[in-house]
Formats: sequence, C-alpha cells, structure tokens
Amino acid sequence: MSYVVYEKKGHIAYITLNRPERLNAMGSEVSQQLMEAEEDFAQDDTLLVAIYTGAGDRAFCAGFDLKEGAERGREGEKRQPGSRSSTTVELIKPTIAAINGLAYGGGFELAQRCDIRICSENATFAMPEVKRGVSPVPGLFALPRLIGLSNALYLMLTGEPIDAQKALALGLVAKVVPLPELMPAATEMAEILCENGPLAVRTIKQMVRLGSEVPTEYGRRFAAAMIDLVWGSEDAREGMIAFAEKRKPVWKMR
Amino acid sequence: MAYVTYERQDRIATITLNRPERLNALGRELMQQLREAENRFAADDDAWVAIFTGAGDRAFCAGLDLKETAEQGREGPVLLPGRATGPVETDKPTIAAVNGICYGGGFELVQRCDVRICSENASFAMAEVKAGRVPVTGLFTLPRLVGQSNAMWLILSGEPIDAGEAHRIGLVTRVVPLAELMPTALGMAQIMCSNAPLGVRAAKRIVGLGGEVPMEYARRLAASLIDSVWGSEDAREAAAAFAEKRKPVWKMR
Repeated sequence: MSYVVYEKKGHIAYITLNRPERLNAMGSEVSQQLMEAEEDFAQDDTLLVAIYTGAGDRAFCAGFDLKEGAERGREGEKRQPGSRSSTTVELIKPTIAAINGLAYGGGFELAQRCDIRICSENATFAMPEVKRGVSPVPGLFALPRLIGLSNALYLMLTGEPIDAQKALALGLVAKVVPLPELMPAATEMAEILCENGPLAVRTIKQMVRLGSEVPTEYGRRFAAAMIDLVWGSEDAREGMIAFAEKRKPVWKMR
Repeated sequence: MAYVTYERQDRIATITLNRPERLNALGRELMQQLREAENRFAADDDAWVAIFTGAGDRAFCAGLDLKETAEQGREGPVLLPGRATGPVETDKPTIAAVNGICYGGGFELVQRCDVRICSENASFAMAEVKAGRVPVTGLFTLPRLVGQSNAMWLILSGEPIDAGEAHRIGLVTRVVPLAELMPTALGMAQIMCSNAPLGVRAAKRIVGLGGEVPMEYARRLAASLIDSVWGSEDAREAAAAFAEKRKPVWKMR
C-alpha cells in the first residue's frame, strides 16, 4: 500500500500523504515512505522544487497516528524522544507545503520544515501535543523562527487550533485560496522558483537558515564566499545579459 | 551631479536618493554618495534622526543598476559583494520613507533602517534571484524583521508585494497616501527627537545586540550601558521635568 504518492512533473516533485481514511496521520509506514520520497527528490538533478500536500479534502496530516502509537505503547514499546528527528532528510532545494485541511502536530511540523506555506480556506493548524502530555519536538525550534516567540508560545502552550485566516495574519502562510485552487496556486509558486537562478535559490535557502542560527556578523562571514561564488557565476552573468536583452535567462547551474 | 542629497532641518537629516530618471537605481556613483551621506549623518552631532527617501513619485530605489553593471560586466571584473565593506554603523535611529518601488539593494537599504513607513503606491521585492544572484545583507536582515516564513517566500521567489501586504507582514508600521509620506516620517522623527537621545541610542544598540546573541549574554553585555543611561543627568532631568510638568531639556550626558 502506498501511503505516500510521489510524482514528478517537469522540475516539480509532488509528495502527497495518502492515507485519507486516517486523515493522513503519520504512522511508521508513512514516515518511512516520506523519507524515501525525500531522498529521491534530493538526488534527482532534474527536480528543482518539491510540493507537499495531503490526499482528500479534509486533512493535510492529522499528526502522529495516536492509534498506532497506543497499540505499540500497550505492547510496552516506548517511543524514544528525538528518534523521529533523525528521519529528517536535509534538503537544499526549496519546498512548499500546500495545506489542504487539518495540519496538526507532526503534520504541522512537516509544514514548518517547508520553506513556504500556502493553504486552503478550510485549513486548520494546531500543536496539540501538550493536550496529550507531551511536547512538540522539531516544532519547539522551528515555529518561533517562523512566526516569532509570542505567536509560537501561544500555539504550543495552548494546543488550540487556528484557522486559515489567522495563519495568514501570523505570517505562517503566504496565501489562502479556495480548496480547488490550492494545487494550481502551489504549482504556480513552484514555477516561479523554478524560473529563478537555481544556484541562487539554493544558496539563499541555506544562508537564510544559517543566518537565523548564528549572529549576523558570523553569518555574513560564513556566507561571503558562497555569495561571491553566486555573483561570480556564469548564471549571474547570464541573468544580467538576459535582462539587458529583455529575454528569459537560461540557467546552467554553474 | 548630486545623486544623493543630504538636508538637515533642526535635528532631522533627510537623505534622498536623487536619480529619478533611473528609478534611483544603485549605480557606482550613487552608492558612493550614499555612503558619504551616511558617514556625514553618523558624524553630524546636530543630527539625531535620519530619514531615507527617494526623489520622484515612482521609486524609492529600484536596486542595483543592472544596465550599468551589464555595461561594466562585459569588460571589467565582476562585482563580488561578499567582499564589500559593511554598511555605515550608527546608534542614531533611521526611518525609511518608501515612496514607490523598493527592490533588491534598495529594499536592503530599507531593511537596515530601524523603522519603515510607505506610501500606498509602494512595492517591495528581493529580485536578485531572478538575475541569478542572491541578496547580500537581506539574507540576514529580512528574516529578523518579518520572520523566516514571510522572508523565505520573498527571497526565494523574487516576486513583489504591495504596500498592504508589507503592512500585513509587519514590514512597515504605517501606510499613508503619497502626499502624506514625508509629513508622517517627519512627525515620527520629531517624536524620536523629543525622547532622551542617550536612551534612544542605547535602546537601538541593545535591541540590535539582542537580536543576535542569546538573551543571557545580551543582558550581561548591555548591563553597564543600561546603568549609564539610568544614572545619567538626562534621566534625572526627565524625572524633574515630569514633576514640574514641563518639557525636559536634554544634555546628552
């Protein structure tokens, strides 16, 4: 059974959580298949952007499959905290979350790992871990960086859901669209990224994330060589000449 | 030809990018003059607050002058900004009054300011990526200003946003009609000038530090500066003026 559908269309990879009867909840099978898809995306040079979404019209991902967790828990298997963070594939290519409904817990954290988020009008977001007596894991660090400490603490300490409009107001999502327009809108955003210089796009993703982790002074120092590399690249020259000649640039990724 | 003008009225300096026929784009000459103007503001003891704006009603600054760069790039060496000298540092507050297009290096200039307001016709974009480049300072400043979520879309897409969107993500504190832009900026500058300058400057420096290092270290590093402000003559003067229901007279000590 394919719990994660992985499709490639041109330069865009579509990673769809496909377990709609369980609100795309993240069991161990789903996590495994998700990781396999991400590994392929990372390695396939024809792919420039990935879009994550959920099957069906109710949920992006309801979070970790508590039913499966409970069954295993009864058998005495204890989840090691931190174990799931080791299953994250580091991606230097940009990712977009197209959130089509519930995005709770681990599902919300998956969306937080993406670089850009858009959602449909019926989407809701929550970090409900605290209601079950546990804490989020990567969300503890990712969410405050995305929307600031005040908003992040409110979401994580209350566990209460917010709707799409509130998510837009917090800056969590870049856009809210009606559900039928979600995938076209996400694809349009991905195409914009595909048209930009790929060396530049990947450098930006890495440097912005680095810059959020270290003081600017160090960030700039680390980044200087990479920035020079991009500005001195063939693609940078091509970008400038294409601008002067009023045509679209042709990127060579060097 | 003055591509950048520096005017001071009372304690407020206005630095205007003045190349409207090229949307105030950052050519070599303009960048040099901008640096001189910023140095002048930093050194001018009578200037307490600076307002940055652009001449004309279309652009604040369209960013790097690609036309000029293209002409030079075909012959001369490629400009490598990672090695460029850093911006002029000052503890005095700066306000960006964004009067139109604000792209690339122009947007980065605005991000360096402490406070931003814009006119209704303003638009903002980090367009570097469309020309196969990356922003230089914006990679670090924009996420700090608007959070990683909002910053990533702007920086990775290179797409413009309008004034309303800039307000939604907290990039600008106010959006006003173009005719009210400079009066509003001057009003904000006057409010800052009426506050104790030692306090204003210490606050700017410490907030900047606090955005960079863990709070524990920031508090430790800032402690003596905070003490010197609280123990200043100006702090005593403020208390006395409040009790006497008059305006304080700052001595900057």
